[in-house]
Amino acid sequence: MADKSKIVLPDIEELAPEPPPKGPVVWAKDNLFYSVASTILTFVGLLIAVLFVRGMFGFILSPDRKWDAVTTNFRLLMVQAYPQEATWRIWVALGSIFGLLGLSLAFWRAGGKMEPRKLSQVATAAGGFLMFVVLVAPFTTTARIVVVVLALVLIGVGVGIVRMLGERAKEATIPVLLLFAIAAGLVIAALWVLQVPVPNPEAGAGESQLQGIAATTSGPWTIIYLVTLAAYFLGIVLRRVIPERPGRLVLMALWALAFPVIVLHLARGVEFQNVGQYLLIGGGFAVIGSAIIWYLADPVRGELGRGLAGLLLVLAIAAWMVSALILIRLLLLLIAMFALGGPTFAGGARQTRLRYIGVWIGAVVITVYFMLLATGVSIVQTSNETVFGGFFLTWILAIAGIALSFPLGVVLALGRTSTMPIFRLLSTLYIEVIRGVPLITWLLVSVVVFPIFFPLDVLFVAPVKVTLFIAFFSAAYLAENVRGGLQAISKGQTEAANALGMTTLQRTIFITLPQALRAVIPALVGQVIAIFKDTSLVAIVGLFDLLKIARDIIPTQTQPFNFLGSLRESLLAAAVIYWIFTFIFSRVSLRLEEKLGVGTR
Amino acid sequence: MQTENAKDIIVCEGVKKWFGDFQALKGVTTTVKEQEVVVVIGPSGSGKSTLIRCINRLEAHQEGKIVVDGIELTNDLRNIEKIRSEVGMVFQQFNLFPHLTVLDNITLAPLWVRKNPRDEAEQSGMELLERVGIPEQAHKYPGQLSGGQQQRVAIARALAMKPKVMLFDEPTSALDPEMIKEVLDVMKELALSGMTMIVVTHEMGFAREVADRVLFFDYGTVVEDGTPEHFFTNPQHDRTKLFLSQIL
Repeated sequence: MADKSKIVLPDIEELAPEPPPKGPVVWAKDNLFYSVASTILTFVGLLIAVLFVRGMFGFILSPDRKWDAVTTNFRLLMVQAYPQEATWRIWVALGSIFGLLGLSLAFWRAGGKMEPRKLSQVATAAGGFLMFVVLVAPFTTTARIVVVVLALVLIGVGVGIVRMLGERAKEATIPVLLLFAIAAGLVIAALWVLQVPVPNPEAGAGESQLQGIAATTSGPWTIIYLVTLAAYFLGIVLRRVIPERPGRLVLMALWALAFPVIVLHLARGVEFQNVGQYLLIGGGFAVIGSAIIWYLADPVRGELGRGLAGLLLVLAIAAWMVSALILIRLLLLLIAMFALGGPTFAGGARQTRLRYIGVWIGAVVITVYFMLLATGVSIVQTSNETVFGGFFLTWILAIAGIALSFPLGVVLALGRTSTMPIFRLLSTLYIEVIRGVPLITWLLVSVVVFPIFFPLDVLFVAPVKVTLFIAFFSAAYLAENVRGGLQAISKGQTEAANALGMTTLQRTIFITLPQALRAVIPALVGQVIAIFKDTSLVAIVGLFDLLKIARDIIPTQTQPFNFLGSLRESLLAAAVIYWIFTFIFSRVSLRLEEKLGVGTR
Repeated sequence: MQTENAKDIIVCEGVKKWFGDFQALKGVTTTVKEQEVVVVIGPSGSGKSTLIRCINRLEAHQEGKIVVDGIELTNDLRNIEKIRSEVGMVFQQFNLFPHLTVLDNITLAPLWVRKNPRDEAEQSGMELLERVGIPEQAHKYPGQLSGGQQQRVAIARALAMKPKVMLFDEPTSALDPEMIKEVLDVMKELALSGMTMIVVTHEMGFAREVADRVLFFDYGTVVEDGTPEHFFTNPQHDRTKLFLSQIL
């Protein structure tokens, strides 16, 4: 063996880092053409892309297409028969949602900073894609020039950013929210500026006139845009005045209330009935209930408190067997719930008990308000008994279905993993029965069979029944997803919570569920997207949702324009509308995963 | 640390426990007095962890009697919750709640089990973090801390309930060697402050230095019970002698 002391140490200077090989040629070689097979696959893939883009744009740009069937009927697609003079209600609803969004963005300090490099990549890629499209798609010469110019501008911006900033392009400096605001502003501006040909009923068939692409909606959208901006800045000011935690709690409560209030009150246009009677009952329950809960939640009561609360629950359930106002039955059930939860959440300090009573009174107010809404009469007159239709109906069904199915799904998942055999059996039975039958069947059951078993049916219009069954159906799937999350939680978590003296309820709410739900966010978002799209099945029971209108209404119109045979156009439009929103859901879910650190633990 | 005539805080009488057909505890009888520090030593599978897990009912014993602070452990849920809130427990695997910040980990039980007001809970939480030496980590998540820091947070979390007894189930076994000392130091400080402690551990140095009593466990029962000096220098039982010869 050679003498080890003879080894010559390398000169440190010569070991200075060399730049790694990079550049487009290297990238292409490493990623596209690194072997014969990969080269073939690259070209096959390219060929498929060319054929697809060419076919798609050939279809869209063909002179035979009746795209005016979609543009003329856009209102129909969105809200169906909702009367023109009541449309302000929907705009007010949208405005309040966006206002709430602005406030929330400020209060949650949403939106980080983005690297200019990333922006440059997006712009260059978009420009490149446009170039590709213009090469293979059958555009007219003018359109070609416009698209080429647009593509060059995008590529120029993309390359320019990196050239100008150099190394600084890697620092995250661009506020994402500002980017969104600018993009939304550009869209709004386009609503005012861009013009499209729209058929003119006076000029006869084939004649058309130029009109702004959103003649009737550019005004409201502009106002909503400004409201959102104003709400955001208001939120930033308020954030300094109001402490963060209560502020966020109030906003969360507003979000929870937003949907039912908008749908049941604003969009339906309710005239309340029996207001005096309901207020009297509500007031009575608020006072008596406060006294009962105050008494039972006192830690001095001990086991007696839980015993009496259990008795109340039996009474409340018995009230559903006899005939009584639904409001009274609901409030009795609510008292029992609050009394049962009392020792867990409010026993102890006087202050906590007072706050608990406050929550109780709030719950009574909300219950009375909702019962007034449910029993009120709609003043919005439509040709359609359900008032709602089109994409608006799609959203209502989806949001209500999701909102109802989440708690139900979580309860079922807890039941299925419970240590008590009876809960486990019931949950498993429910899940297996519901999952074993197609959703369409359940929807038919909701309108055909359900009324036979449920005499209170007169209270429910078709959308309510359908929503309930969509919720029942998706709860079964949600339960299975959540169960996966629950089973992934280590035994140590339960033991640690137990060792701290937490009750089963506290452990579930604070420890098990938050972790389980976080672990299954991708599956939950998948379920949300599934519900959103599955709402299109309600056409089977005669509701006019987006897809039903696109498929059955628009292609059969002959007056005032002849849109016969425009089925493919309206279906494609509906598909694009669905896609835009499901794509947003999946992006939001990715952000949520990042933020809650799934997989990084 | 222990004063004469202190009252008994934990009494075990003939405690037996089976896992299926395997008998983990074969009639354990022992008593722990207030402010006493008891170190439990023994080979793995000897039932030492099972015993302390029975003391706060993470496992239910099947025969015999366990009385904690005058309350007997039965199936009565209210008693179990009461005892658990009086007995702090520190686990081998820390078992911090990964979705909550360090401070929230500590204040959760005081807020919802003890029903303390939030500002009071947060203030005493910060004091505890200072006591275990990591106040600057209050707003981080457990996953961002080292093992030693996590275990100290776990100790602070247990202390936040102001327990009368602290149970330690091999608190340093999952730690890298250089982090063991920081946890043992916290435990020493706790012992000196007069806390009643039962510690299952393999740290003989800790047993020798801090313990008032050493219990040697094997075959699901107490084989040897005495002061550290007695245990390390003059063990009576052959099994103890063998064990000591293997580890020392």
